[in-house]
Amino acid sequence: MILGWLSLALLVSGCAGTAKGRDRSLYQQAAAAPVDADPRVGSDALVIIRYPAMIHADAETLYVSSFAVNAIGGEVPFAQYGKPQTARMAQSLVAKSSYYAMSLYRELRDSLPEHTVLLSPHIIEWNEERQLHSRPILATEQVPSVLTVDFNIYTFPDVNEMMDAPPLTFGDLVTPLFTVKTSAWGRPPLEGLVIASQPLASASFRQAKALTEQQLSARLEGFPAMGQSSLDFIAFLAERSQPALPLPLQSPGATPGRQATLEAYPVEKIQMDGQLMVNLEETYRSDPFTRDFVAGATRRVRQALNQVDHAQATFFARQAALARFDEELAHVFFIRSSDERVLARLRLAEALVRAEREFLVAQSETVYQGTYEGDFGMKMRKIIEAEYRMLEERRRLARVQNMTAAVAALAMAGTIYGATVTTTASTAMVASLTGLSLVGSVWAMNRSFDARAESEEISEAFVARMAPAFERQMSVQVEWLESREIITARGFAEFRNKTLTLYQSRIRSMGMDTRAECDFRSPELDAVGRWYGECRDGAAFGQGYGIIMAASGASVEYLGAAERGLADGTGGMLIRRQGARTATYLEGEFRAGLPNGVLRVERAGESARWREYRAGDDVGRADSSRWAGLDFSSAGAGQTLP
Amino acid sequence: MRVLVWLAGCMLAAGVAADILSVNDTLTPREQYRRLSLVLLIGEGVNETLYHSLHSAYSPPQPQDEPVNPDELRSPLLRIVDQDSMLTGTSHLFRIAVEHGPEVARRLRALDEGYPEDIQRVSLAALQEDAILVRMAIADSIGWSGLDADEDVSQALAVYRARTLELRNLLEYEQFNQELGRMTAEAIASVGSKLDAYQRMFDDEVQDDTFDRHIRSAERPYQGRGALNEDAARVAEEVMNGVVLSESQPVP
Repeated sequence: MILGWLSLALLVSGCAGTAKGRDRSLYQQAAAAPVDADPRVGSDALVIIRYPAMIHADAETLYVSSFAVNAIGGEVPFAQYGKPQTARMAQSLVAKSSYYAMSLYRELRDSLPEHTVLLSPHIIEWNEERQLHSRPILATEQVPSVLTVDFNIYTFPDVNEMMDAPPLTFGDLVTPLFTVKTSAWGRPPLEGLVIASQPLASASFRQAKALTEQQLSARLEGFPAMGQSSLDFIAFLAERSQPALPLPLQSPGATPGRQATLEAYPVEKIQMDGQLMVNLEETYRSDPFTRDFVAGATRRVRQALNQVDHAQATFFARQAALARFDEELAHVFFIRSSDERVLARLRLAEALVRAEREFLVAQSETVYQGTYEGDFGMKMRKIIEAEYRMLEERRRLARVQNMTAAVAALAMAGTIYGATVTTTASTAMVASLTGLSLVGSVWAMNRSFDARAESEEISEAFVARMAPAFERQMSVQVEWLESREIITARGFAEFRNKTLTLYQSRIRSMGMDTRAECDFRSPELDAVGRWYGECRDGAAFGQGYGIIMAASGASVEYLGAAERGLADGTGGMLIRRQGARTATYLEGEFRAGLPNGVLRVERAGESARWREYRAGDDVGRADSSRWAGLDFSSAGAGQTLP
Repeated sequence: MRVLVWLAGCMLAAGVAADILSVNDTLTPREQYRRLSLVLLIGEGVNETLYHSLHSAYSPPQPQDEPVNPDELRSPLLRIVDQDSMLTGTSHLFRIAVEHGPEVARRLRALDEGYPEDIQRVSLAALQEDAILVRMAIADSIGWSGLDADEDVSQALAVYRARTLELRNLLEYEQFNQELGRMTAEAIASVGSKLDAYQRMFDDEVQDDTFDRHIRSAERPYQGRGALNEDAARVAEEVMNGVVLSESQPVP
């Protein structure tokens, strides 16, 4: 009996792992949800997929060391940091992210309205100001988008741990990391975060918060709120040893959308279908990654699209897009006027943004074709196939190794067992067994150790020998994407110049300009802010957008009606209080800067609630049917300019 | 401009507007379609207040026996010097648009279905341009008449002018959009062809052998050792069999 238990235990916890993963992602359970493009935001994209595609030479050393230091799923021995194999794994992460991101792009592109999904490949760079960071290669992120998905695969830096538990992307194993975000106003309490791979959640939140602060400071100074964020994975690597934040998290299984919580996607090592891996070069159109992860993740992204109000999510991105070519209109945009003169100009401007989106959609399509269908994709599949064959061989070896180790231990145990057993039959059997095991165990133990050493050697040797193939892929990708960046940028700049000339020749006066400096205040903060909108006697009066920031970092943003410099009428207010990690969002009626009437309240970790306020005091629950919300469409305020 | 002349003709020859529905047989389907479309476009945004006010002040006389050929009335001065005729015709045209709008729409659909090739040649942009000019002339004439002294009429006239502005803006938007679409298609084709050329460089990559050799080289260390491991497996299996056999013997 004891031997049976012992053998089982040994086989389960054998010396060498067999590099296994889940055969299906958690998201395979996600239900399908139809998504329609919101006609109020017809020029916007629904999803932009960002992924690492290149590394600049200046950033390589820091990127590799950060990759080793911030390993997910275990500690990397210091001795491994400087090894070429660690650098190879870091490089393979970029090349494979480019490849696997295409599956997500194709699935989303095919399941969402035409021309609403774009690709944004990033280059990883370093400079003294921003340290390790990434920036988009194409102009894709200038297009307002409801959601942004940051995608990359992950692989543990220490190649010797390949057969054990740490996350890996090698052969048939893929460990995807991703975050799904909307804008800070699209999901106010969590700075726009909807889903984040668990290890990235804190870094992603910190980065989103920093970007918001940067944009608010710019608006407060009267500048357009531009600003770029790195890929969340790069932000995570750049942070090094920052503490994890106590964010309100929920698991992927929970019903999405009810509460303002961040869905924490656990690190999943997905094992793709071996049948499809055997001859990937021939069977790649039945993409195993799509079957085992992307299809489910796509359904979840579609659910996320239904979780947010599209007009609200892209309101400030639309304003920023207008500010790039028509500052006057960008200011008037905050009024959300329905005056025909403004609407006519908005129609032209939005047509321009839509044309740019179409241009960039075409670029995304060529990036997809080149990366997945072209030479790069074909060679990546050869590499993945070779990796799969190697893994399968190592799995076989590991099974042998486990078996020999297990039996060696069993034989040892049998020897001891034999000394305690007295029956003739058993003694004879044990004697023969002992004789064999004494010889066999020593041999088997030796083989076991050999096999283990062999495994490690193979891992290193494989990665080292595969390096030229990877280097070729990297250099091809770099050359190819750089050519794309140059050609596209040149083509895009030329296109933008032409369209801008056309736009400027066709626009008419709106009969007003809201660019005069105007004050905005709030009882929340003892500071004077800036108002973009209708103004009287130097203070906010009418529709517009106001921003106040205190030196402490606390801030108030407000979109809606104002009087005498204070929020007054229907509006939405985003309050970031000093010391509070997350924001509070109030939407409804305000009087003299304070909530007054029925308001919808959103706080992190809670479901949205409707509350009755009197002069800023919460006096109890309110009926949502009495609530009048803010319309975030371009002409939401529905009023005519004077 | 020819529409202005046509409208002026309609207005001079009172009753022509009414004949739009009755004498169309003399016109080609395309011309019928153009005129009926104009009636709808000109009547767009007319409310009851404006219609009744105009109708009570400028009741059209009885229709003439002979319909007027608009091409015979080409003088653009007509709308300047003969506002009364214009307002009388307008009154009649508004009546058709307000009271017979559905019938006009039905006739348009019938023409569209009956003469699709002819109707496709009608320029929508030209129609819109004509309608905008006529609407502006009508609005100016109502202003000249003094009917807008009444506040309700004044508001109704403001709505009518605003709708004219919208039509003009939509027309300009469509023209802008067409031009923009052409530029976008050109830019996509131009940049796309350059990228395609670049893509072909990689697709036609001739170093496949080198690449494949790298992969074979990477695979070599773990290939060709199967026999040794099979030996280990065989011995291990024998040992295991022994253990299993011993365990299967009952202890007396």
